[in-house]
Amino acid sequence: MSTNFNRKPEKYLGLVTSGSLSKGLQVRIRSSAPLEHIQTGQFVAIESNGVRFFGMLTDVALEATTDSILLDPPGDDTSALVREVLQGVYTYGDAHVDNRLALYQGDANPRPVRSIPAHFTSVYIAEETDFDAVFGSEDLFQGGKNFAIGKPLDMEIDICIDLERFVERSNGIFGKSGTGKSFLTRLLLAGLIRADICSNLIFDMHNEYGEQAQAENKKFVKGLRSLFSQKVQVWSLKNTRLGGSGSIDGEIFIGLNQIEVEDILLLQDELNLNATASESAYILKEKYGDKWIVELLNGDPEQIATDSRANIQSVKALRNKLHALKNLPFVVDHSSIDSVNQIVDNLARGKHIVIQFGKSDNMLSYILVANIVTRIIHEKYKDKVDQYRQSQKASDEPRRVMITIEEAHKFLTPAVAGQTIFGTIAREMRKYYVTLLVVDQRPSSIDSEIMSQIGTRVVALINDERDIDAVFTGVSGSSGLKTVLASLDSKQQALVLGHAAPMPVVIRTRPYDEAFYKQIISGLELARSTVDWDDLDPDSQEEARQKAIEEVKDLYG
Amino acid sequence: MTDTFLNIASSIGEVVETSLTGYTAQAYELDNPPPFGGLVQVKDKGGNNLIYGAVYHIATGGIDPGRRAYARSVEGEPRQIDEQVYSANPQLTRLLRTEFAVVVLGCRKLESGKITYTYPDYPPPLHYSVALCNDDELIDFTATPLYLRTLLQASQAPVEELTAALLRHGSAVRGSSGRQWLVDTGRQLARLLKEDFDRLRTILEKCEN
Repeated sequence: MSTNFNRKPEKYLGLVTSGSLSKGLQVRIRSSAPLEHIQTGQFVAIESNGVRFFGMLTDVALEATTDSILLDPPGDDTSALVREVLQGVYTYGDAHVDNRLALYQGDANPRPVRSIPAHFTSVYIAEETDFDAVFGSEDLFQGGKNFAIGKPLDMEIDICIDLERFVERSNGIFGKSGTGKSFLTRLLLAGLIRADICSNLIFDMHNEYGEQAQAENKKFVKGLRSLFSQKVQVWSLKNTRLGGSGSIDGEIFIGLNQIEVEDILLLQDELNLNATASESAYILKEKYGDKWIVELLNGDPEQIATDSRANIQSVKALRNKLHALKNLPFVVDHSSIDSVNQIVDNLARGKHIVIQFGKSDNMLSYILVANIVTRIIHEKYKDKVDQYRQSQKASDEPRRVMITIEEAHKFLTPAVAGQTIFGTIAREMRKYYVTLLVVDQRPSSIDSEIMSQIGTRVVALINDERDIDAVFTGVSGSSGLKTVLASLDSKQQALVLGHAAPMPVVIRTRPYDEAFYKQIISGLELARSTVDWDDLDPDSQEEARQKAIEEVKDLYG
Repeated sequence: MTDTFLNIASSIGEVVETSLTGYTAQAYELDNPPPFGGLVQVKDKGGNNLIYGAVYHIATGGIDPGRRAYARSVEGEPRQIDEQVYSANPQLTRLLRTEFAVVVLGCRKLESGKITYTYPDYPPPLHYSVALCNDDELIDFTATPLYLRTLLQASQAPVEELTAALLRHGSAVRGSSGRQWLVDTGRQLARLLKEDFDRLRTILEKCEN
């Protein structure tokens, strides 16, 4: 790939004056654009001896060559000429550039930097060619593994993430309430479903992903099933359906026999359990096995305490508190795991499943169901993977599953992360073909060990210092990115970094609208705009035609 | 080529004292020197180079250094003032002379037309004619700001005033693009005067009127 092309003079930013690989580069700003127009978060390119470096502008500072000018600064009474002349010579802007990638001459793809550009190399604001070299372009036409998640702040060009890399790790979407987390999630899920790289299981606490959801501007947007019809199944908890929420593909009910002590511990806050609860619960489980909750709730507590040699007060307290479980509409005394089995089968067959909580959109139901369903899926997947490892037949390879959980900090707080299944999945990562998509507004409450394992992070505006620190756990050279993050707009802007993005980048989120529906469903709309049909040779035309027919069949049955 | 750069018609004086770094010339006509800060040119002895310089000093006095001019308006009735003095004493144009001093800033090779911002190999010859450069030449010479350093180091001249004057001329001949040229040149000047903000400010403030 040639790195020499004529850059536009108006994109000139300045020249490298100092810096290091670890601390980033200092760039003396010499641009013709006023300092006010140089924004942090911009993507820059630096050409030096056949190597093209890519970085992100993370900070801009005001500097002066001499103190005398600062002691007697030219005020409003100074002539305009003096002030104009001073700018750029006596007083100047210094930009800090976080250098991330390097594209060596002859290489197709950029690599992480291991060198720095020479002194006084010219620095340019990135142009389309640079974005193209780093992020590639969307390939909906060829399967959609490169998915455009948004556009840079100041340019009309796609920024793509590699969905195949995305699903290899657990991922996180973070941001304050109202910054568009659900939209980002829906966008990414749509991309994943479209590319058909993994099956998705979505715990949809607020009924936003299945059929339709309301955007902040009061308009309704299409849910995933409305977009992908039969590829996506909507399941709901038994007896919790909301009127008018469309048809469902299955109901889930939870038997008290399916609830493990670990599930109860996760509900410590919701059930207001005290410290001795876990001890009593383990004792009861030991004694009664699967039926421990049923026995506890229906039997005589004193008898139970005597039989199991547990503390009578503690047993009574636990009994009172666990009554809340019995009152949940979808909880029955006994259940085989049929409904969850069916979900696993469907996931393995390539369907995507949205679990709606309907009326039961409280934390108690959400945590209980998400934990139990995920635990069972994880167990089943473990078996599938073990089987695959033994047989080593390609046909036995399980289909990757990504589990989307909102309010993830409830499952992943340092106190419980060690015990819950979500903690296990986040740590074991891809070994068992199950990964997480963590959606949360309070990343600081998530166990740091788990945060450090998160592959790709999509971060909308966060202000809280602790949350910002948490988001960058396990990310090297993050100090500059923090300023960038804190300066994001509160709407439709996000910072993407990690495994699936070649380098951190600030995006304007792709709008989730009619145009998107069309592009995502057919992929042809976009293909037409980038490839002129007449330019294709007859073979490619025929191939594209067949592909389109197949796609339509696949989508609409 | 030679004709383009050496316009005899605009000759304005004759070198009467010379050195490598600067020279003094006498204006052909009394009180008709080139302006302060004006860019002037003189040919070198071989006729191969033009030597450019800026006018930094202008003075009018008697031809005989021993004899000082005295006030003529005090004689006769009614009193004659200003131009009337000259009309009444036509010999004055012979007895007085106007001299101007020039600091050398650079040369142009007549063969190639290339301008170098260095001193010439030899000083301008005595009694050669000095001409005021036309607008095109001024624009040409001030296109690159390399003359500024020599200018700032001219210890014999009032440097701040001279620089400002030259910049004013350079800006005026450029018309609408003069302002931008002034800013760009000002920035170069600022680079040279990095350690001396007050001096820079003085010069720039003088540029604007």
